[in-house]
Amino acid sequence: MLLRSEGSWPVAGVDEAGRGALAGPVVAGAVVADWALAAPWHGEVRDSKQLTARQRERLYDLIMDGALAVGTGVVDSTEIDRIGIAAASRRAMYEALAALSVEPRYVLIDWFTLPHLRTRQEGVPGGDARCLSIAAASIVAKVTRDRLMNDLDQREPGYGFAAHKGYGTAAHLFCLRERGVSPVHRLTFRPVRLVAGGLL
Amino acid sequence: MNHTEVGRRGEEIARAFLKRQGYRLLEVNVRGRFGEIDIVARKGKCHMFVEVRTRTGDDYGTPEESITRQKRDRMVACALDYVARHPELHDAAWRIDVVAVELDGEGRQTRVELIESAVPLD
Repeated sequence: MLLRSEGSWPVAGVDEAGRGALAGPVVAGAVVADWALAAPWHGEVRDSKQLTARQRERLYDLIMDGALAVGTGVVDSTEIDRIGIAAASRRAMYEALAALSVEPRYVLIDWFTLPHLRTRQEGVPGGDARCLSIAAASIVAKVTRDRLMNDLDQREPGYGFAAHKGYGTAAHLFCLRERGVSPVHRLTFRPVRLVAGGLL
Repeated sequence: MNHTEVGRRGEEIARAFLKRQGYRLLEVNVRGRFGEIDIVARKGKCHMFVEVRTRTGDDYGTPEESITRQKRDRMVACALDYVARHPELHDAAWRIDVVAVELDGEGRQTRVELIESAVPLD
């Protein structure tokens, strides 16, 4: 996207991770980078959806080194239960943008836009595959969240959070059925209550 | 039309309707441990699991009124089971919708409507 010529530079890409999870926080990443100096790993970033956890970790380090600014926002499960997942995921994005040390003049977000953002913005359909800044933000969000889930696994052992990161895998559903909910499960998400209540 | 024909006609109408509304149909009639999902679709970042309810003129009530509590729970179970088996959906936003189809005595469509989050997840 040729935004530089329109005086819209620097550009921030934003994406979120953990929206679909049954437990743990929703995490957003925001990345401002100058992609003009092409590097071989940029192509890998673009395929962010197909990456293994290890590849993501490696790219995360490259992004942290190479980007002009990186911000993250974390909204925990208690807050998700209080305000709902849609609002929580938007809040994480606002926080990620606010945490940037370089103020962007244009913001690109995967699919949707943020209603209260003052900066000019654009929701890019399929943005995590089409736009490097969004793809990089997606990697930052995922890696940051994975690390937090590893920490939560220490705090709430027995659910396998380090393995499935709170997503609805068969193993997670099994633990939820056996043990009931933990303090980091999203109680307002009906599937969580149904599984923990032994209804499914 | 017998019961099966009504159901099949309703599903055809529902599929065509969703496509016209810009939804991408990913799979239809997905059998799982907890029953069948009529349609798995996607629009933007959101995935939907769709139950098609078809009623003819002689039935009582609207299609969406015919969904029992047990049926709702089973729809959630079906959706969860589907998500568990599809890693690419683990972080997706999803909801459970109903497409209500009403037919007259000759099988002509008198109503088709998408009820988003017909089975609320929160």
